[in-house]
Amino acid sequence: MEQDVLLCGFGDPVDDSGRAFRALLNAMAHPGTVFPVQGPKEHPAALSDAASAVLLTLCDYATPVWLNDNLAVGEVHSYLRFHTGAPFTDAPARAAFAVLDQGFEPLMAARFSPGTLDYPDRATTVIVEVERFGDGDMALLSGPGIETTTALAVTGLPLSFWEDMQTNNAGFPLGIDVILTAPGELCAIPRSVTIEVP
Amino acid sequence: MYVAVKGGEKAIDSAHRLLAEERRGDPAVPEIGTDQIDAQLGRAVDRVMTEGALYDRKLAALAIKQAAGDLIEAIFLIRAYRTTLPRFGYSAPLDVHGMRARRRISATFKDLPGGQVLGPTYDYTHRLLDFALEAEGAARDAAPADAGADVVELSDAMPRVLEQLAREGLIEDAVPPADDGDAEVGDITRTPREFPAGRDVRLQSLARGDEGFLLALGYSTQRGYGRTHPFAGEIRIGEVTVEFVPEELGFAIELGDITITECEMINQFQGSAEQKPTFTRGYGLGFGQVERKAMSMALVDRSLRADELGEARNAPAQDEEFVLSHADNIEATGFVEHLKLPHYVDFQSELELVRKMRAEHDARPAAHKTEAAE
Amino acid sequence: MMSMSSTDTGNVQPDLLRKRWISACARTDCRHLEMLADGLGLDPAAFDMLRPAENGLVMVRCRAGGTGQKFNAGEMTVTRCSVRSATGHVGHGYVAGRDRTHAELAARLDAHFQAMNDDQAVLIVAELEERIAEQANRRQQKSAPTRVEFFTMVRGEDE
Repeated sequence: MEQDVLLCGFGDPVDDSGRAFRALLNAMAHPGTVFPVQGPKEHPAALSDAASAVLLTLCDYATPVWLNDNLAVGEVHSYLRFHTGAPFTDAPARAAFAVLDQGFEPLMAARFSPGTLDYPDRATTVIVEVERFGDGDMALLSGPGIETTTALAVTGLPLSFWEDMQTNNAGFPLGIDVILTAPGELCAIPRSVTIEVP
Repeated sequence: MYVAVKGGEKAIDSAHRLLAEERRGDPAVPEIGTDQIDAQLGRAVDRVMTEGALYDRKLAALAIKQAAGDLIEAIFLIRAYRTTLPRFGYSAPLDVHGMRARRRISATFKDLPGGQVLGPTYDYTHRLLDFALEAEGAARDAAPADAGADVVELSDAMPRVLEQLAREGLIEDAVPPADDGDAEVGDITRTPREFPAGRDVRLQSLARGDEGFLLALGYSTQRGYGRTHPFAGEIRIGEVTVEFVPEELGFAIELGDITITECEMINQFQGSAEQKPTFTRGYGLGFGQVERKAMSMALVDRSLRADELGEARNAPAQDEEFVLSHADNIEATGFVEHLKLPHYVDFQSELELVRKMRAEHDARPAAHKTEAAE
Repeated sequence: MMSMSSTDTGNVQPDLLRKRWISACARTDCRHLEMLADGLGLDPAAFDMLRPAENGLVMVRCRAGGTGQKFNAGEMTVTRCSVRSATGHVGHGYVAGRDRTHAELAARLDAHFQAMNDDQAVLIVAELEERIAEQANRRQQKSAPTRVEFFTMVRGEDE
């Protein structure tokens, strides 16, 4: 690991990761609602501050991480290794966490682990970087955690994202869970959500 | 099925307050310091570190103070605390050849290179209570005899007894398996035990196993429950330096020194028409000065190697599932002490069943009863 | 075991020397490191925290019989810290125990030693190593009088 690519992570790991975890909890509990999240002191240019905060908070030496091609670069590797000790895997199906950078590469949810009936929690949690929330492709979400429906509009989603998620969520209780990250914000779409594309 | 315990909160708070008061004891008596426990009750600290499976003297001393001396309670505290700390990785295998031994004895050879070094041992004390210790300051008289000009310094060269025997082919060699470089080393803190267990999992389980349990099992092997015919080949207590490779550095660094106790037992020799007889071995290891534990562990380790050495499993100490499932005193006390939890509903249904059966018994025709009486 | 008190930098590879000072900082008590850091004029404010001091665990690994199959014996507490100096050097400290200050000092010293002239560094490191070896030896030698001298165990008449 080259010394000159080592960046700071959280300035105060205990408090900062606690705050990020709280944002994630809220996001999972209220699917489709966007929550603000504070990024770490430093993070690689290839990742948003929100995605970096999520990875620093959730990953450790026991959670294999899969990165898509654009992200599987030295700076991101070094950062995650140094701050979380997370191992990397080439196989999406073996990943505890996966990251898709902001681009239009399709999600292809089926390539990740959907968990098993005995251990549904072993499914991959996929972090999908997007451009911003509030406009763009829209879907109506309903289900646990949503009182009636929540409209979620996102710019910069992967191709066919909503269709992909509909197929994934039809497999409940198995399937991946998705965290969408944009600068300073995140939003979660767990597999329990019903998605309607108007 | 558990019944919600209502109204217990107030009583529990009071119990905790009372506990703290009892733990402190008479305020007129000076409060015990964790540094005192570390320094003067070192063998308790060692046991808590070994069975807590966490090397940190200060933490163990604190746990002992908090548990008012209940060592298993202290071990529980240590086990719980360790779950809050991130794992940085695994050390390099300890360089036990570099141990600076402060105690080193062998019951199998009298004259060893490096000598028999007794160290601070209770072995030769007369086990008479020393009432002088009741008064503080008794340590004055316990100062070690002056080294004097005629005492030869301990040498670095204390070759391991069993290695010498192995070189002569008299004892099985302790060699790493063929896949030593790549194979994963079993870790029961990450993966639950499965049976049959590999020797790595067995040794890890035994190292943190209850001293009393292993002592009894070891004793049983000597009394005929299993027959490993042991000799204490070598016992060493001393400091070793722990090495670790941080990924960001890519080379090994020293983290510090730890005190360990090692025991190598020389056991029943084996041989056949085709194979020359060799002695077999058992290994025990623990944190700090834990000689009794290391010896017991070595006896049980040897017994559990029954399959590997082609022995029939007849004795409790050879029963891997029995030994490993019951060796951990936290697992054990968890289940034993859970009996204190409310089992009201379970018991209620048993009570009704017993009452019903008793009523049926009473309701039986009188003739049967007199027959039974005769 | 610690016989590396050589002050000859001749053919010493950088990693070997760096291993020596990192190890020496880990095995030297915090107070002495503080004095050393002060003596070298290290200003904590001149360092960026890359990875703040954190307590963690290292699983201690052993070999059955000392040379055989590896097994995990139990964990030990370890504290680590990484800093970046004003000169851009990254310093890492890894020390046994839970003393954050110790790890921070070790990290700063690692960065500082890297910026230092090898000849200078070697002198300081050798001194630390000597101190460590002396303490370790002193502790072990307390047992010297307890070694059994069999030749003195003779029947009374020879005296």
